[in-house]
Amino acid sequence: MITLYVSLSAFLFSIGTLIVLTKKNIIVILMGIELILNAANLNLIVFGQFDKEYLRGHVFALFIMVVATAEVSVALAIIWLVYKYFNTTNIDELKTLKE
Amino acid sequence: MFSKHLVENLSYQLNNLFNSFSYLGGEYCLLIGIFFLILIELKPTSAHKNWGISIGILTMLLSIFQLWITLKNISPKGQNLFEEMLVLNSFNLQLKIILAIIGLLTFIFLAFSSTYKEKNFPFSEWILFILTIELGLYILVMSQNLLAIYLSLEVVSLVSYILVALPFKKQNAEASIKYLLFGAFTTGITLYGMSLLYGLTGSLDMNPAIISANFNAVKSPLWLMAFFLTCGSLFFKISSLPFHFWTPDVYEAGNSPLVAFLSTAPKIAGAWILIFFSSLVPTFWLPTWQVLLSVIAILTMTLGNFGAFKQTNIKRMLAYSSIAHASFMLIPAIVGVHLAGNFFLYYAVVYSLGTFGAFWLAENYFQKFGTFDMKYLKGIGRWNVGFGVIFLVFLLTLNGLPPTSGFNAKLFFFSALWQSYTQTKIFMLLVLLVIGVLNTGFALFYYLKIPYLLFIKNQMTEEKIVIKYHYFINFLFGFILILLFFGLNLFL
Repeated sequence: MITLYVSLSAFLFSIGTLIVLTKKNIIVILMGIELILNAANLNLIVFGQFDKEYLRGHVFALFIMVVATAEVSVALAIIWLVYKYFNTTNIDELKTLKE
Repeated sequence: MFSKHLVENLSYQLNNLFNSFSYLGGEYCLLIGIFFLILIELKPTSAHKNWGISIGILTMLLSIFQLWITLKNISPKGQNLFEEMLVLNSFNLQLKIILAIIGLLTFIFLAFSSTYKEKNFPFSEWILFILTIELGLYILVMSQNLLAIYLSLEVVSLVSYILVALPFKKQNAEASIKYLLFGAFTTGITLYGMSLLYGLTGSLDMNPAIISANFNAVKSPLWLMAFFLTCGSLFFKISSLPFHFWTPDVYEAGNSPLVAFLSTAPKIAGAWILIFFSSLVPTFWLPTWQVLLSVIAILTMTLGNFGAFKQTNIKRMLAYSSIAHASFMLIPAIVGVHLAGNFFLYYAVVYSLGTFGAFWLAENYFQKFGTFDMKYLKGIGRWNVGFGVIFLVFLLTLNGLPPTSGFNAKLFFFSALWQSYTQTKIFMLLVLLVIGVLNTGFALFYYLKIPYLLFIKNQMTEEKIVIKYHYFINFLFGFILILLFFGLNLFL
């Protein structure tokens, strides 16, 4: 059973990485990052089953969720700022800083 | 629901918890400072920028004092806090004092920078965020547990994204979103690695006992892969090769005090955690690990130096120089803490002073000409001899040539590398040594570009242009850097 869960999380991690590397829209990239974080969460909870006394995996997963929420709120605020100046959320069109 | 074992030990654990809190004096000072700054922010006017800076400087001074007291009282073999989550020893405390001094310099730099004269700049928030980063870094350098490392790294990263975006201009927004996307991606990779490490060893603690207790799991290549993924965030923090793309953009967009801070404090703390991680690698993985880090270091320094070569913007050039320096921060991780632990502190002091000095003079140049482009430097050296000479001292420090202490730092690292090579006979270490020395020579070309423009090139007009610079503080930095070259035994 554990093989199934770990494979699922590896699959999620791969999808997330692929999205981050190929997509151009900032919000979609953020969604890919969330998938990677959830892959880590799934792993932690599955492995936490073997750590019944302290439940460190579960605790870690809770922390990740909270921090990820904070991260997304900061990201959305900055994306709003980017949209205000550039009128786009395409990462390729942000190139005022390149030479 | 709760296990019996935990409930029985509750009073012991509570005692342990309260005992641990008594060692965190430096952190309390920062928390009090943060609290006062939040109180000030409740009434938003631009009048309290002096208040903000004074509170920031006072907080850092108090924090340094507290750390110094703790350093006097700490037992030589260190102190475990919070059930071995954090460890406090004299090395950590010295590193924290260096980080606190960097914070102090940042606030002084802010008071002298062009940002200080801006109308709508949120000063007390800026200082609040720098203090928050300091808090994260204090905890990061003590961490011995994956959860503690993750949380403190996230405190540092999240606040850095906000700080880069803070003046809310167009280029800040762009740099900040790039920084954030890279940072969040590397955090995701790190977390995936951490989850695999947790699965393989069954514990979130990072200490040699856990590694040796799970010998079979550690022997599998999966463990090394997970361990390498876990270091992703640290590579991002020291702006080493796979995750260095954010550095030039952030350095160009951020204001000088922030960039000087970001290129020193988080890099030093991240490099220290990387050194700590490398000390955990078991002996049968050590050759592979050293080769892996050596390849990263070689690519990083070559890319950094070649990238810096074609820059015309002073800040972008210093950004690539900071990427090149990331490879020197990897060297103590490669050779191990027993060979290069003490040198790391020396290098941290020298590198911070050199970077702060270079950014400070770049900021003075910006205050005169309104740009970081090098084209106005041409030939004005004869009106600004002091400016040029002190700039030369900082650049030679960053390059590592005598008579500045940067030379000693590089010499220590290279000799430690040579010693490690003679012990282990790993060919990659020799390659790293040779390429490192070659790169130091190559780096001269761009480090000496500024003095060359200042003194050798002819001025475009005959006008007398004098750059106002804060000579007292900059000569103090330069004096310390040269003093550390000659009076080495004062330090070690």
